[in-house]
Amino acid sequence: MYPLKAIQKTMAAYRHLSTCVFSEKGRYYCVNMTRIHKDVERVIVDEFCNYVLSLIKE
Amino acid sequence: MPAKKSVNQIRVVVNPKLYSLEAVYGAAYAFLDRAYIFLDQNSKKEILVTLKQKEELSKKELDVMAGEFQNALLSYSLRNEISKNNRKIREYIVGRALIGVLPENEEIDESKEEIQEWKGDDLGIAVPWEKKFAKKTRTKTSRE
Repeated sequence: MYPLKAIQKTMAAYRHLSTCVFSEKGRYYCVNMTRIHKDVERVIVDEFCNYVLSLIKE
Repeated sequence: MPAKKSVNQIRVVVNPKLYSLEAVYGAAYAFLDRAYIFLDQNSKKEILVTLKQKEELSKKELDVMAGEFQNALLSYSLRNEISKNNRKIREYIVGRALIGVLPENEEIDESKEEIQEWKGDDLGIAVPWEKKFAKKTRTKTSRE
């Protein structure tokens, strides 16, 4: 569903908001976020997914 | 397409035989400003699209959003289909447009063709002004 390249680009774009660690679990790609900026902790996961989708389309 | 509701989100199940992944991406992209969108796939290979509200929405409004998403899916599917059918024509048109921007060699070839035409012109009608008067000037100089 989500291309690896788009996920990697999103991780790079979000590096100033959190520390992202990439891994694979079965059929899924996992992005583990730590040290999340306080201002965005409520929405960062959702926004991350939307950002990946936007890169797919582009 | 069935839609399943949770507290602040709604899920649309998409049949991949009817809608391509491209159409799902296109429809999802159109909704990025209105909702958080999550894609997944179940064991039946059906695409699960979860729309999570960004702003507070009633159940009815969630339903409406799901309906609009399904319409967007249809729209993008049709668009993709038309794009596939028109691909050769588009490539031809673009190719022709690019051929119009030719390098300088093409102009030299045309002038050679024009010169051939002038040679067959007994009355001298097709001879350019510059050539016609250039000859006469040379004649005047030689007499003086």
